[in-house]
Amino acid sequence: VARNALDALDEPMKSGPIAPRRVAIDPSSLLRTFPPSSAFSGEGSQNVPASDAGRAGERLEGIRGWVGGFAGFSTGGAADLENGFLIGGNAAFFFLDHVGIEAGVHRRSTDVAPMPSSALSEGSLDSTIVTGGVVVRFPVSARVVPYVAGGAAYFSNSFEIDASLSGRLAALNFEATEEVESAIGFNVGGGVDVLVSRRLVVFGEARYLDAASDTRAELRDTITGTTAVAGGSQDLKAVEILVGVRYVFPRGPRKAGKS
Amino acid sequence: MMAFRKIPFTFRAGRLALLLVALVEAAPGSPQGTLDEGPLPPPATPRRSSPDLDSRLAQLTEIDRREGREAASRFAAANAIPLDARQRVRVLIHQGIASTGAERAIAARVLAFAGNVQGRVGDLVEARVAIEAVEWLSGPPEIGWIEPAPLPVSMQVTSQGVAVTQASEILEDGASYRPSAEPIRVGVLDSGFEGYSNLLGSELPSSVTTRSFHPLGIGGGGVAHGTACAEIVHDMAPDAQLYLANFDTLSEHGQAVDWLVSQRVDVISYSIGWYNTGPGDGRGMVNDQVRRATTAGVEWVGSAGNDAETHWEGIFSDTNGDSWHNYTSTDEGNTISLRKGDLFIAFLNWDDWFQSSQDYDLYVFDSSNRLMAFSDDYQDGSQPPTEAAGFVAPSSGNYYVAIHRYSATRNVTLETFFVTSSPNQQEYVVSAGSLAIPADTDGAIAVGATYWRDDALEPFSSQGPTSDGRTKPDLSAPDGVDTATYQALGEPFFGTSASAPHVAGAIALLKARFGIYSMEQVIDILYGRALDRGAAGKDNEYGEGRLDLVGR
Repeated sequence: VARNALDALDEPMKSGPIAPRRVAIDPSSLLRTFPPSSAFSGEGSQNVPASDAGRAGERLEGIRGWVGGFAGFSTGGAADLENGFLIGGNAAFFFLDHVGIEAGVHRRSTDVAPMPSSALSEGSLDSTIVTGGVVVRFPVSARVVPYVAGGAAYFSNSFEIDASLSGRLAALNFEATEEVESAIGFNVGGGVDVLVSRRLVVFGEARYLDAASDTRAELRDTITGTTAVAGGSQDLKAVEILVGVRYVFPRGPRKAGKS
Repeated sequence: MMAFRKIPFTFRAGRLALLLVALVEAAPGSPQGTLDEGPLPPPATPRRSSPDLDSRLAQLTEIDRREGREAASRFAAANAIPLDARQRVRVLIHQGIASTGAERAIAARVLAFAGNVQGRVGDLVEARVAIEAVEWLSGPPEIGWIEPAPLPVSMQVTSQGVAVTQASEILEDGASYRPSAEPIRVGVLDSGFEGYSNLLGSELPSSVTTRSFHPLGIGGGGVAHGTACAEIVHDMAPDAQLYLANFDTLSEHGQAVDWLVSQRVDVISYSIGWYNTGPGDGRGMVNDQVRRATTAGVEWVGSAGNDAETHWEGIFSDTNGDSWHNYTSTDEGNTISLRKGDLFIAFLNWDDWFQSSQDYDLYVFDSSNRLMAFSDDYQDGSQPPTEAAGFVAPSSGNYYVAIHRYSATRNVTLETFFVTSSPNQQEYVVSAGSLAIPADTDGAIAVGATYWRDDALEPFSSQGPTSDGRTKPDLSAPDGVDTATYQALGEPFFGTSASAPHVAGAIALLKARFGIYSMEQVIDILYGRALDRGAAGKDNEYGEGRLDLVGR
């Protein structure tokens, strides 16, 4: 379509008389040649006038990226991890209209209810989880875009033994400490973006993260100093359900010949 | 001739001490607690209960009427009045008049008040009735005294050692850290476990594994010593699995040890001692059997012995050239006072193990120098350096133990143990080195006895060092404690026999609750937490100190 418009401009100069010939230029054809600032030019974008770019921005398509925050809870997964809360943020850069890379970080706080085979004792496990990977969007309507995402996950963990357990041990002159090493695993999930204003999206997402961390438990007799150490492995897998808000960066206008 | 004997380390001498304590506490003239609170109110007159109704039942019905069912239920629980799920009270109804129709009349009366008859106990009728109906039952002449049906009461006895050693802190707190995945197995090796089956589910776990190598079976011919030891282990470590094995002879002893090892026990509690089976330096037949367990990874916890007051040792000395040992320059007999009927056995050994060519003999005389017993084994290079002689005292009085050099090229170091059926004071005592065998075994834990009330070392508790100079015992633990077994005889359980199972149980408890520790570390913790008594550090009386699981 864009070539046609330009051809229409050039044509009289090539073959017509010297007197210029007026050619009516349909602005909409130019829009198609130079997509509007764009990002949100959805299904019917070819029909959206340039002067309506703002309204076009209310359509969920063709974004350059986003930054956002979210909160939610984790559930399921490792049997000895109870439901936990999480909060975090992420950002994405789309190198194609619907394909991009994302990175995020969130903090997950989970109580541990140990089982006989558990590597950790009763306590709370806080994980700072850095995720990164690919995100692919599937626009299905003007305002709703499902997406899937997946990639690597890095867990940085800290564990604190339950205070009542520590207290009971202290009363018996024991001191216990437990550490959970960092771990690398993976994450995979999907969600739905819903446009609520020109550059604001709310989203819901379910994501499965999986990793196993080495653990180190140490019990010290505070009288004799007798210390025992035990290693283990803590399963960190969980399904995270989260909701959040994103600020999106629309894809800007493309220069001719480069689109 | 008795070459060696095994002796359970039960010691009952503390009865007198306990009696004295009780008398002091109850001495007349001591102010009673109520005096501080003012005079007691006079008893209620007239009596509030009826002649036909137990006062607890009368109070129950009154509380039910005035304060409601919940208050009545609380009262019933506090007064051992049995209520069923429907809050009906179980009563025993005595017959008011003995007649053939009395029982029927009682049943009719019960039914009239919507109760039901549960059964007969002799001439008594057991029934369940609503609380408010209890006092209505009275009236007909056939109904006599009404009382609550008795509740079965568990006669559990817990060793005072559980609290003294602060094992109770762990038990009551329920504290654990990475507990052992499997229960800890404790073997109790003893002469007999008479009556153990009666204590299953109360003083002992609901089930135990037993194996008898004794010709008379697990009871050992009526010996309950092992049962009392097992009780203490169970008090200290209620979750431990118990393996009870008994024996009579040394060969059976070895079989029993091997069986316990094959059962993969973690700890063996051993409250038996032997005399004349080795030099006291860890060598000997019994020690070898103990080592079969310790080398298999079993923690062997044994009594140190009760011989600190019945042991003597010294170098043979013949100051007047008559071949009799001189305890002093003028005394050739070690006097012991016996009561008529007392069993007395003297054991003698000397430092020429294992095939001795130094020949010494043992004699016992009465105060008239009449020979009562003797042992004159040959030692010509192929016999052990041991003698033993025993008798039953025909009359009360002093007896003398004398040692004769028959044929010897050197003055050996002599050692005697006197064993009597009742506590007796002997003239010459050397407490040092009084460990019984196999308390001298390296790699095994020897346990001395402290009285649970005051931590004082029991005067009879055997002392180190071993004959090769190692400090023993390793720990001390309470004795004089209550067990159901000996309580039935009206006696606390005294002796290092009672002390060893406290330590065995403590090991099992710590290992079970803190499974992250190796057995070796558990022992280190017990040693490190023991309350230092006697000389600073490990000594030959208390060892590392008195057992304490928490430390201070």
